[in-house]
Amino acid sequence: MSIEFTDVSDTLRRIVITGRLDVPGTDAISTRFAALAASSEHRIVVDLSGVEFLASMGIRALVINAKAQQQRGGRLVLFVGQNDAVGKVLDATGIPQMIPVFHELADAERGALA
Amino acid sequence: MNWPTPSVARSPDDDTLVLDALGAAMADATRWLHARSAAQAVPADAVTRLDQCLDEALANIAAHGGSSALPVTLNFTVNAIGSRCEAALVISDHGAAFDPLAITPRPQAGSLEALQPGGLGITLMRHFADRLHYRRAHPCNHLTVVVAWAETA
Repeated sequence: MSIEFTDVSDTLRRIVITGRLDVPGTDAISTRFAALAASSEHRIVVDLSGVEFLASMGIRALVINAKAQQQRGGRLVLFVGQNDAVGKVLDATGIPQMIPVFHELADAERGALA
Repeated sequence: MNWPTPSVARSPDDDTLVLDALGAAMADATRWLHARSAAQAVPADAVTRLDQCLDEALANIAAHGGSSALPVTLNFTVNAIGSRCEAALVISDHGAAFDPLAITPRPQAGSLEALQPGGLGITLMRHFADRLHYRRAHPCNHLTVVVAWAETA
């Protein structure tokens, strides 16, 4: 389980999560994820393309941080690339209707800055 | 994938695993499920669906039963009827009676503002399992997750 970030610009941050976002995996990254996603200067792209497994606990962390960004006037979007396993889980819960999900990184970055 | 050595799990037989803790120990259950599935040639898509349901079920037990639900016993069987195969995963815990299937899935929120974090585990189990069954006996909760697939020649 790992979480890294890149400040793509002064206004855009990409957070890359890899591994299993199950109960233990979410516990392992949740504090750092919240700190990285709490930026008031940056819109946020969360890169889930390297996530092997996404459980409801992982979705819960995504929702909490997306709502926190929105309450600050910011925006958090998800990039899944060609990760069908993660895409299916998100689709099953209706998350894409509330947190934008993108398959292309450039689209995700534009979506975050929109 | 490298998994840690089990420290809180016991295997009375290959198809049964007993968990004496939850939390980080759930990795033991995941590793066991993947090993048993590989031994019985369960296809990858079915393993993914079983994995999803197992994680959600154990998260529910941890949230609603806590340590009083321990130990948690997992049993895994695969059956074939003609070209149709089924894997059944039975998850048994000693917690207070709790039927996850009696919980009505929360309706989808229409917006991020209205979306409440959590409560999606049941939705995911219902989506990824072909059948779910709950019973209370001895005095344990027994949740059965069935995932089916068609065997290809």
